Amino acid sequence: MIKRNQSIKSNRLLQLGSSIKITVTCLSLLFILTLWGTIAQVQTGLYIAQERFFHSWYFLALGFIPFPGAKLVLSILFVNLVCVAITRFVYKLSHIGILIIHFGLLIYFVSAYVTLNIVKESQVTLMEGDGTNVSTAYHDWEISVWAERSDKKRDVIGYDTRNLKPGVIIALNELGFQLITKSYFPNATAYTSAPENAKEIMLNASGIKYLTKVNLNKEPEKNIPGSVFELQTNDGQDINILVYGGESKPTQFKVDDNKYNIILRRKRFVLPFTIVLKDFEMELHPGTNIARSYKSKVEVEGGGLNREAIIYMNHPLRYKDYTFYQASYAVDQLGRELSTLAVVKNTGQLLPYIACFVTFAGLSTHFLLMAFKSKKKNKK
Amino acid sequence: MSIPINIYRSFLLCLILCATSCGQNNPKHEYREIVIESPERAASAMQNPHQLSSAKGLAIPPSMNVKDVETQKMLDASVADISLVWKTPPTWSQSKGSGMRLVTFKNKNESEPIECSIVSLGGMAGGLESNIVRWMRQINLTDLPEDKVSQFVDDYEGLTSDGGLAIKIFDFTKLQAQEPDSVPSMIGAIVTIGDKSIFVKMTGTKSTVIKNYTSFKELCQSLKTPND
Repeated sequence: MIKRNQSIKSNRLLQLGSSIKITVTCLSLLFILTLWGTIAQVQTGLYIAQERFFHSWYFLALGFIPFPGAKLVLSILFVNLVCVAITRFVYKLSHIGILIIHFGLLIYFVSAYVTLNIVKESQVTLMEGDGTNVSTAYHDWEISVWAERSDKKRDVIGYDTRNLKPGVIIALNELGFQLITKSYFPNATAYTSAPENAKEIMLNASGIKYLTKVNLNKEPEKNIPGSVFELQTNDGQDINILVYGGESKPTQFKVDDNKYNIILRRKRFVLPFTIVLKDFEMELHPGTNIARSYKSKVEVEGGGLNREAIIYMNHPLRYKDYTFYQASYAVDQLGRELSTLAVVKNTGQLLPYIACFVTFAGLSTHFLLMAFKSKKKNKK
Repeated sequence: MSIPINIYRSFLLCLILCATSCGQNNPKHEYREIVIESPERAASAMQNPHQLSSAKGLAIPPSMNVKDVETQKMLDASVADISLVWKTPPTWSQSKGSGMRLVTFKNKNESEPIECSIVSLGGMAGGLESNIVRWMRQINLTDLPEDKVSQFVDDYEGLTSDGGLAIKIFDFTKLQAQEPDSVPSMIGAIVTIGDKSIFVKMTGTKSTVIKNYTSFKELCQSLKTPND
């Protein structure tokens, strides 16, 4: 066993991976990325800066020089630390505290990775009396198609627009038709009158006849996409359908006597229960229109749960991997209130706490061992 | 002494996990959505299947009032499409409505400004009393006991417009008798036309609202539907 451990420690790949040069380079790059990303936020906006500097493997500086993104740097640093742990650490009982501390730090890395890649953040906006079992993405959009039903349920087929471009076919064989993408603009302006040379007739619920492409806004929530599809049915029928992200109502069409709805909207994520906003309360600072506090009284039903809950600042609703935070509110011109709840699905939500606990345990152990040692020395 | 091997194995497992989670997701996903709408929103959705402003051929104004497009869409769906005619009081000026507003008025005296708007909605938008309470909250009247609120709701001033519409006027300045003239105040009117509701709201300081009460009543008096 000792021989095997020695052979692992002397492994050239592990030796190379545990180089202190890698550690220093990674830490220096992280410093540059943090500084650069923070300054870049002023010009590009928060979202784009985060995507470019922190959520990417690499990006092109000045348009042509490849520069590592934080994702790549952190991954290399993680590998480097693991290699160091294997090759350099002294696994003795007297060093147990140090080992536990480093193990805690590795868990921090894992939890950061989980947060970056697995955590899903979305939101639910409800008017008093409204309810839903889906949350809405902050930036991503989808084409939603569903057959008309008499009840409050919709069996939706959603298609992520991220890879949508002319020619992409959305095959909806289960519904008996397909949608061929004729155009897709990630940011568009919609017009109710078309130029004379645009002769094609478009089916649209809001009377929109024409879309023009607009440059992408640096704040992605301000981009409203639009798209034109050719609907092809099995019996050879084809219609042009125009959808625009700013529409509040879906466009309806018929295929084989079945009525279908299509809408371009923010991507939806299914929640484990239905949430209904029973009441929204807001307190204002005296003499102002500035909110002092606001809270949502909700009813949750489904997933083995049926209860009321009050969500307010620092008092979220937690259920399994989901956490609902009171995020914001809106008051329309009539004074009707809408409450927005931020929804975070975090499968590894306990990891940072575990990392914190392990690091604390390591520090305590090390401190106690040192204290014990020094007491022993003094006695001698 | 088997710790390093375990760490080595865990490390490999982490790498495998990283590699497998980097795959592309399928763009298509299916789900069952449950939509629960408050009664007044459901009513407005039926009356107003496709409501969008269409000034100069632009389907949706690029500058929307609400930051989030999905919230704006939700509000758009609740606005009722209604034709209404009114006469602008001589001391006021009219400007085009935006968002949910059919129209916005301002008085010509810039030193003592007021703002008045007309909004139409499907249904009663939460009920008469809840609307009155909402309006009270907007002018910081939050500590009134329930019986006083109910009494205020019942003590409205009735008015029949030139178009024969029954109008209920709620003068919130009456609840602010002890307050200074500079506190924010409001006079509101609610008109029910079939299953739609019209809300007329004038806001300003207590003193300016009181000064413009006659003009507000003139506006309410002139309300009619084009068929009248």
